[in-house]
Amino acid sequence: MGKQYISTVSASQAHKSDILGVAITNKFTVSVSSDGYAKFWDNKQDEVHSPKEFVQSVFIDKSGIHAVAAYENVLPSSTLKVTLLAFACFNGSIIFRYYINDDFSTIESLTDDIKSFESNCWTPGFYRDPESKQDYFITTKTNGTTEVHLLNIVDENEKAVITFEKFGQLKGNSSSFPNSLAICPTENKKCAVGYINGDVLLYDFVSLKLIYTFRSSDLVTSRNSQSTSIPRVLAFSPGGTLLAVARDNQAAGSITLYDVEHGENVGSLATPSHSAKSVVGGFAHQGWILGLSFDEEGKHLASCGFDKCIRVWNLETSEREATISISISDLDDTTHNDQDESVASGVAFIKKGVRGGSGGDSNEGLCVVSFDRGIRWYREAGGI
Amino acid sequence: MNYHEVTIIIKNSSNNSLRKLGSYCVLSIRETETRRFAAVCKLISILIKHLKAQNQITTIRDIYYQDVEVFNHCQNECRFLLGQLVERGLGWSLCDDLNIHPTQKGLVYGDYFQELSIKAEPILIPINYTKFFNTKITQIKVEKVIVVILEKDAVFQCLCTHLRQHNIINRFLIVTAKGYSDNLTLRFLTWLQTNENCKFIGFFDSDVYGLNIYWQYNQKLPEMVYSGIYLLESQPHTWLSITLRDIAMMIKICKNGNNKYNDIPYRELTRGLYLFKKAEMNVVQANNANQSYVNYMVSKILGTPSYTK
Repeated sequence: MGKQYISTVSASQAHKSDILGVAITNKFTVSVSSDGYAKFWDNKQDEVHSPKEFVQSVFIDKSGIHAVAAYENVLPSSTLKVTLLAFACFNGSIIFRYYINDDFSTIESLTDDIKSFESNCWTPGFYRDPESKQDYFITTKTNGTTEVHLLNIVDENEKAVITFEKFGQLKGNSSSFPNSLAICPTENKKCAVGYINGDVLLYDFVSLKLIYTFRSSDLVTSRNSQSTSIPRVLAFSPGGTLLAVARDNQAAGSITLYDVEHGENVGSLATPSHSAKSVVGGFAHQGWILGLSFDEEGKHLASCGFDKCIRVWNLETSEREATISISISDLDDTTHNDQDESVASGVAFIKKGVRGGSGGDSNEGLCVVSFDRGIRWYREAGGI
Repeated sequence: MNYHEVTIIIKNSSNNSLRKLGSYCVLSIRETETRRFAAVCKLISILIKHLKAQNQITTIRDIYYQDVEVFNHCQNECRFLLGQLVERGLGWSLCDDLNIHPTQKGLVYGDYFQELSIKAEPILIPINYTKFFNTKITQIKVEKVIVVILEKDAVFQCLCTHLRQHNIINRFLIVTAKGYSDNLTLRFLTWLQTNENCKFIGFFDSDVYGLNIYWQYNQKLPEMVYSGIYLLESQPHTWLSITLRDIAMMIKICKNGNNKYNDIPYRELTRGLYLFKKAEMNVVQANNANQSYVNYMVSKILGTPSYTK
């Protein structure tokens, strides 16, 4: 049977402009916006609470933030827990903030040794080594390449000292723009970079080699023979076996699954049309897809996009488990301006043990951000 | 012959440095200086001829095309020498004293001035607009006039054709400068802002060029309302992909965007950069899409709060 998701809380007018990204850490849901602010929403409150009473606001950059990447780890041979956030700004810079032991009052800027990230950067990503040997920070550059840096965090008298060291460069397509990035969380040390011409390149970021190129199968090309199927968002499954690619398909959105080890297209996700059995010609969303998120076990994938829907897919059956529609009327305060549209711009699963409130340890949650400047939280139904 | 000796000093650059200033009582042996001397003599001759023709209006391009050889086949050379000779040398104004104006570019259409008629064709913005539009200064400006500024000439013609056939807007002016605005159009709009009770609204493409054009107007007309076209108000299948150069220009605006942040067009810029798409109002002959664009603009014009007041 299908999954059901229950709305728990929401925050209207969470930002002054479009909300463009969301990241889940153990203590906070972090949302970023083109108004230049990052907001930290408390995950540990009871289910019946007003999120605006438990939010911290941090100004990052006046040009606005379009992406956020989160790194969270207890340092090896230490009890210090470090949460490091990379905010990608529209002016091409990446700005870092970090705090320790889930204590927001310890939040600090990272100002040393970050000259590499002051301009010409676009999408950041962190790799946390499951074997605790070496962590990496990877960012796409506006000139078409992707840079790999070593990320070193050491505990010095209960203080985190964070340094980056340039490791190498992943050569890409210099005639296209690398708009999306995903990093495989397992020990196979792979990352995927999507370009606006439709290509997705799979790299080994330790040997700095290109492994596979996944090209768009869209038949519609623009005048200069460039596909317009932008791979807007990429996501690896937690086990590292699947890469999900969300591409534009004219005005609709499609999700294609690739096998990471063998480089094969293993299927796509589509909603049934007319016949419940036929998926030919079907698309995952009736609009472009702007967010993808795997759950903790890798059995479900959440997607969201321009059709103002969040869909949860069962990856074993390739069927849709749930659909959530969002609109301004969901929010507690329906005040909005003319530019607010309930385009779902980001979705993230909240794994078990993170949410406060009923079923936090047994039921997964979902967080959805939108162009209508609202944030909505849901939890899986049942089991309480 | 009664010739008097004169000294003509020509600087090699536009800076104010007095070093390397040369003065000759014989012709120089350097080719560039000799050519520039000949160009200045030619300019003097052209200006004398121009001044003898009363009330004649000319342009820098007209002067340039009288002898492209002497100006080294470069119109900027002609403009530079005119600036040196007339404005910096004699202290005169090319516009006011010599009636040398840039080529007219902006168009205006509407029903607000007596000299404009809703049944007539749009006209070029007159060079002497303050005299042409015989505004009565003593009359108290209580009537609100709406001024619509359009980026594209094709959209302008389409909207004017529609308004000529359907008389649905009163006390209005529609202005276009066909892309980036020239100084005459900006001065005309600034004059309207100063002398009339105006409400300015603008329609620009949602791409880096349209937004730049909006910000160009916005410097002179801070009260101008950005009315569209918005990315999310048009259909995604009409959106176009942006190029690498567009992306670089957008990032540069985000980097140097003084006074542009946190207003509606900046949100539009970030949406275009986030989605890598742009929206244009492309009117095509005999196309139904034209009508939707015209209806879009007319409904926004009629929906302007101060207009309905």
